[in-house]
Amino acid sequence: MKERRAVVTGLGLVTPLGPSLQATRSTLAAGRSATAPATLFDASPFASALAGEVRDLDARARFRVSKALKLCDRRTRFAVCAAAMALEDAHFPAGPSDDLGVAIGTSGSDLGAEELSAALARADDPALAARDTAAFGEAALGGLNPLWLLVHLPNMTSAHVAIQLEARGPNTTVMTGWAAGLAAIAEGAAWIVEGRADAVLAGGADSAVHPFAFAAFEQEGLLSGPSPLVPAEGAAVVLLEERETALARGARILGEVGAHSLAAGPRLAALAAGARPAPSQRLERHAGNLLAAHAPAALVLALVEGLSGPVAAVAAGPAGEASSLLILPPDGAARSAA
Amino acid sequence: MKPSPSEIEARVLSIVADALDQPAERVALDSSLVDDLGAESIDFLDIVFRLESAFGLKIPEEEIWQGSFDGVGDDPDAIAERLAQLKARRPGFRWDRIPARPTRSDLPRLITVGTVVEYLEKRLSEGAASPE
Repeated sequence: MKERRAVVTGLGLVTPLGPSLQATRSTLAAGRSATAPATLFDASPFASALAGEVRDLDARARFRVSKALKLCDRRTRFAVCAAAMALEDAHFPAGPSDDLGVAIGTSGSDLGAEELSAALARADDPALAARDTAAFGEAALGGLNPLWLLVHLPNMTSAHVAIQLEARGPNTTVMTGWAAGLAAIAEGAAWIVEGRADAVLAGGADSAVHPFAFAAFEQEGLLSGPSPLVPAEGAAVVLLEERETALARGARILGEVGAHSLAAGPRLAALAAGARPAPSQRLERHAGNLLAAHAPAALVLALVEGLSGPVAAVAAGPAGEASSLLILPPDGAARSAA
Repeated sequence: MKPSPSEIEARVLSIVADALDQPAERVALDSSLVDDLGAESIDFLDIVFRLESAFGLKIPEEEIWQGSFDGVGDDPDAIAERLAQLKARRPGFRWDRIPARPTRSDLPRLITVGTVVEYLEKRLSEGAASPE
């Protein structure tokens, strides 16, 4: 039996620079920045109010069942849209598929901050409910729509991608902080190599433009100093396919998934040595930090240019979480060298 | 203040349209929540929550849907008898989609926007609408 190899055949991207890969590229090429004071909530009490917000995304147009929009927070909408774009970009056959898996990485949910605050405000003693768990439960939970939990369960991101795009293969949501997006691509590639799926929608999706994220970043000192973090949002999803299957359907192959590492350290550095880095810093300067979606987004921007040699994407988060992934040019020429 | 019957109807129509992401013109009193508007079990939870918030009352689980079939259990004859009564009251409903002898699992398909309005009118006229 021929060795199974995972290749990239489709790209989907939603960033503050634009609601598609094309729009993101042209804004980036024009040298424009998408960072500005947050408008999704009042961030003025924080050390820095700058954010990278996704605008002009028509999520409804990408949803097969629009009723499900009420169950999807921003990161999940981004993921569904980016995944739909990746399938489209790959000219992947439409319709339900048992061989199509989903592996999306995300660092977390906004927990419906607005809904929670509204429920808290209705409590007899909002200040007590805000600091006391029992009082919070009594005051807030009864006042929350029962669907609240379903929106913010961590695994919902990949679940909704599967529901909307009828991807009935294996499904997982990786939640290893900012390293999650690349880790999810590595996981998806492993499924293909192991024969668990012939195709996988893999990548990262996140939204950091909410009070809980800003509060956490401020506590960690990330919003101050010489180059404060600009929390942003978006999703980057690639379609991975088994190489022979992709070739058989005449798919365009953009690159092949190479080695990956799920920790910081010498192995990570060795992996990236000799490879061109994905344009992660450039993306961050113009769009802010997309957290778990950031490294996958940089990878997508590198892949769309066409690879002449290996490209390395590296993600490293504030808790010490890290991941890195090497993508090789499609011809396999650099495979043995890497 | 107690809402008038036309206010109840308008609010229910708009809540159902919102919850099921349907354009207002597709939602009528005789629309079946399941067959016409695509409601699933979690949508019922959502709609009950939205009704409770809008009308300031607690709605015991399933009470809203089962009014017409209270106490029938799984007995097909009892179900059929209640169904005949319901048919007389609801001539505009698409009865052709419902089996002649429905089982208990078919009953949620009989829930229309009108069922909800009737239930709320009954509850609110009982003076049970004491806001929390």
